[in-house]
Amino acid sequence: MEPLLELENVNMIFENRAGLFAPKRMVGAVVGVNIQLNPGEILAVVGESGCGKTTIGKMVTGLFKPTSGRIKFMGKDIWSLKGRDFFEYRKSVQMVHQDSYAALNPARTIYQSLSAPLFRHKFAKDKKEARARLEELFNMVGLTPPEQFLDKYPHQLSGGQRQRILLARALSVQPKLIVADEPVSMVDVSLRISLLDLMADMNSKFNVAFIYITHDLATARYIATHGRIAVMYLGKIVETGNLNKVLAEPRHPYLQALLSAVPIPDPKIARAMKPLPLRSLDMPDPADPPQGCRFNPRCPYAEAICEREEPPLIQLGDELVACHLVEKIPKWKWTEEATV
Amino acid sequence: MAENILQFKNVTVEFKLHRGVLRAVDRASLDVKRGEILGVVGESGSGKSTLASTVLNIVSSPGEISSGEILYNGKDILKLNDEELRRYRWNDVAMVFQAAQNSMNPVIKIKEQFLETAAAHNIHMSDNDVLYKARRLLEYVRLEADQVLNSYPHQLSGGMKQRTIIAMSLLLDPKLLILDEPTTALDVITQAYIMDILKGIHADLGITMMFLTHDVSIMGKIADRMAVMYAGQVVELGTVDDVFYNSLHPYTKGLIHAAPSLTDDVSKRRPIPGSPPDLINLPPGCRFAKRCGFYNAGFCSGEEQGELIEAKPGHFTTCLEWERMDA
Amino acid sequence: MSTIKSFFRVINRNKQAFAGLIILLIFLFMALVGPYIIPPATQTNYAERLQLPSSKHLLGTDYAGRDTLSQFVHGSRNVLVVAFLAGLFTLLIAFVIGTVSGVVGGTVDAILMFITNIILTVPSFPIMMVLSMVIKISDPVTFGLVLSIWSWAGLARAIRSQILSLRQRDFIEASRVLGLSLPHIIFAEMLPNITSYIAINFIMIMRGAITASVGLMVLGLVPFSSTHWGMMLQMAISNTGALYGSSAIIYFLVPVLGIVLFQIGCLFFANGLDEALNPRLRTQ
Repeated sequence: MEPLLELENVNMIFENRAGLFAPKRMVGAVVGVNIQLNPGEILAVVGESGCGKTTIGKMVTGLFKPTSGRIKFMGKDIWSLKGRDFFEYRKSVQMVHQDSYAALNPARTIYQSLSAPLFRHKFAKDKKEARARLEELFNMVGLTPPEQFLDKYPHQLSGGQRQRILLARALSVQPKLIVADEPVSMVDVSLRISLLDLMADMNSKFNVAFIYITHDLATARYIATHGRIAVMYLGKIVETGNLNKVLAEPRHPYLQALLSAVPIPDPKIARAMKPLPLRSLDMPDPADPPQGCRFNPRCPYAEAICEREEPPLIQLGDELVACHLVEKIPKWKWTEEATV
Repeated sequence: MAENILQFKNVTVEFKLHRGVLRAVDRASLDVKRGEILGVVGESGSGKSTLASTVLNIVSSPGEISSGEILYNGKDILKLNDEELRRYRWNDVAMVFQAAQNSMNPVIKIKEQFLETAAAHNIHMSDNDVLYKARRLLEYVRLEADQVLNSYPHQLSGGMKQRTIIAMSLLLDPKLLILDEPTTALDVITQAYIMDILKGIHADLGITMMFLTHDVSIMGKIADRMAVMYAGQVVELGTVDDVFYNSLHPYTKGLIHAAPSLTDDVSKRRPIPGSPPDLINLPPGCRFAKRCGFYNAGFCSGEEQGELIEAKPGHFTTCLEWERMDA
Repeated sequence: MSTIKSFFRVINRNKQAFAGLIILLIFLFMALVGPYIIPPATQTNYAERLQLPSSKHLLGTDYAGRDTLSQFVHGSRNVLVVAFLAGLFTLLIAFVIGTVSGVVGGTVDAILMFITNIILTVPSFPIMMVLSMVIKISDPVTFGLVLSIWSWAGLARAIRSQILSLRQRDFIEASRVLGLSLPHIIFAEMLPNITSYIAINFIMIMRGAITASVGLMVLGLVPFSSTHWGMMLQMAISNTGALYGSSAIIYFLVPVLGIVLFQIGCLFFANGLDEALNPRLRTQ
């Protein structure tokens, strides 16, 4: 099966100037990333802010052009596409933003905003058809009764409702891939699961692939239960593989630290968990990453080799881990932490 | 000294808008015990931020505290005059606001912010004394004091700014510290770190803390007791263990089961159906009824119940059917 | 329909805007219907010259015995038409330049802004004076063009910065990902967000155009039409020595007050326009 999306050795380097006369700084937002996504697959890209996950989302949707490397959609480099082919690509890759209020035009009603792509991609010929299609979509994403939402302005709806509208908009053009960048982080906790379930539902019903970008590991479990995960740190992928396996047995020390820090809604377990002792709390400046392994200044297990060489992604069973000492690092388990 | 450092008694906050009157907080009663860490959990529209702003009497207009009392050490702070209020703020009670990282003056250095804060509330400390204390506090929150003091806010990361704000809130040795969403917009690792620091401050300095959040998952780690707010009312109050493992209000139970978790079985999580009520056009009766399993199954009449009942010692709830929930 | 209803509801709420709207409507009525109600004052009657207001001549007479009120009413049509055209042309030029600059960016933007900056620094009234001496102005359209040719720079810059900030917004990004065409993004997505800005500026430009047009006429540079207020003022000053006292003062004050009132109407109305056009405030 041909992969739907391929990122081959993709780099995204931003140029930055601190002041008018300061020297130019190169910020490697994304460095040497390789990703393969099959049709209908879900990939969770996880990492803290500054790790490059949002940049990857913007590159996949064609908003940013990588400084080097190729992004191939259905076998073709997206930046070499012209005219009809590019238009087809545009239709096939859609985005769901984090801030549902900012992602909708405040001066237009929901109907006006959502009918535009339908007309553009010829999914509807006139107002009646457009409304019918939108009502169908709204029913699917749980916005019932749909007529109630079409003529409202974004500010008249709640955050959860707007987020569903964003999803409906993305689905309306029948894409093959949806990039969701923190889609639930601005939504109330009690509503998050229903949104995630909805996305998982859309994935299985329509075979739409998802790239789910988040810093919240707990939510990643809900949408990518049968999917994969890629953990990023300072622009590089440090661990990737089947999500459930990776979260059950994290091998990279950064992922282990992340898992120790995620809050658990269970007081007894929460109290017993001890954070992994990181040598430094603060993220290094992405314009000036550490030599060798980017995680080494904070890593509690770092040795000399870690300061010299950048670790490549090594195959470990079904997973890939970028760590020189992966075999030596103690396995991380929930209960083990609890007894410390 | 009295057991309760702060008491909310039937506090109601109303906003008069074109459309009608919005009751952001409705007859909320809550006690904060001296020396404890109290967590208040509430989603959007619950009224928790408005409640927090009443403690320093800084409800943003057009909001007004239309009724109730807020007793600090037995004295109603709503009746304080300007001078007393100035001494009360930051000296007795300090607050770390939501997205505090953005509340620092971007054009002056951190050390001047400390000096300004001190000057605004307390004139008895010399500049040197203030900076000496600031240095100690910054080290306490594990920051490089000299580097931070000489920086501008934009030169610090989100986590560093949050720790700086926490240090600033401790400048005048407050007895009560209120934190509104102290860790939102911060990364998970920084979040855990800050909660750790707060726990340390509590252990070392004995400051009473009240922190408000929409994320029920962070309660478990440091809170002693917790309160749950919904649609402007306090619907449940008790120790963290009681409220988590033996919830006596259907909303609390729903909320805990709806929070995504790393450890639980994925299929056990359930969202709460429906959405919060419109605070201007409140439905009559119990505000949670429409989304409540008991009401929808016919077990509950859905009567209005705004008062907290002491169902069990130290465990309060507003749900009339709490006995059904008692496993 | 509901948008129009809610638009007026907001205007009604804001007393100042409501007053402004009433004033503007009165002028509009006067310009459209007035000339049909009040007969034109073409008959000269030197016996009745420079009379004070009376029941026969509500605002007195001019230096040639003609009814002032009638001249005022007939003149208003020309005044408003010229102001409207000036506003329209200014807006169109500013919109095109500002949008092209903001959307295309790069060298095109740099060149356009360079031109804009030059136009901004050179004062517009002297330029208009020179132009009106050089170009024969005989109809409202030409007059409108002359008035607009040096007035679009400020608005162009403002529109450009609005476009630049809109470009960064998530919903514009979403429009691009959805494959919507560039004309659609500019006119259907961005434009509705700057309508209130444009509308307010339009009113203010009209205000300025009236002042400028009257100014040019007072200076005698635009022998345009005899019933224009500017003409009235010019006649008042040159033919009757109105500025030096005497009963001609009424004849002088009428157009002046007319201009002042119109400007007040514009200002007040513009105040409420922002609130009325903002969907968020409208539906509260």
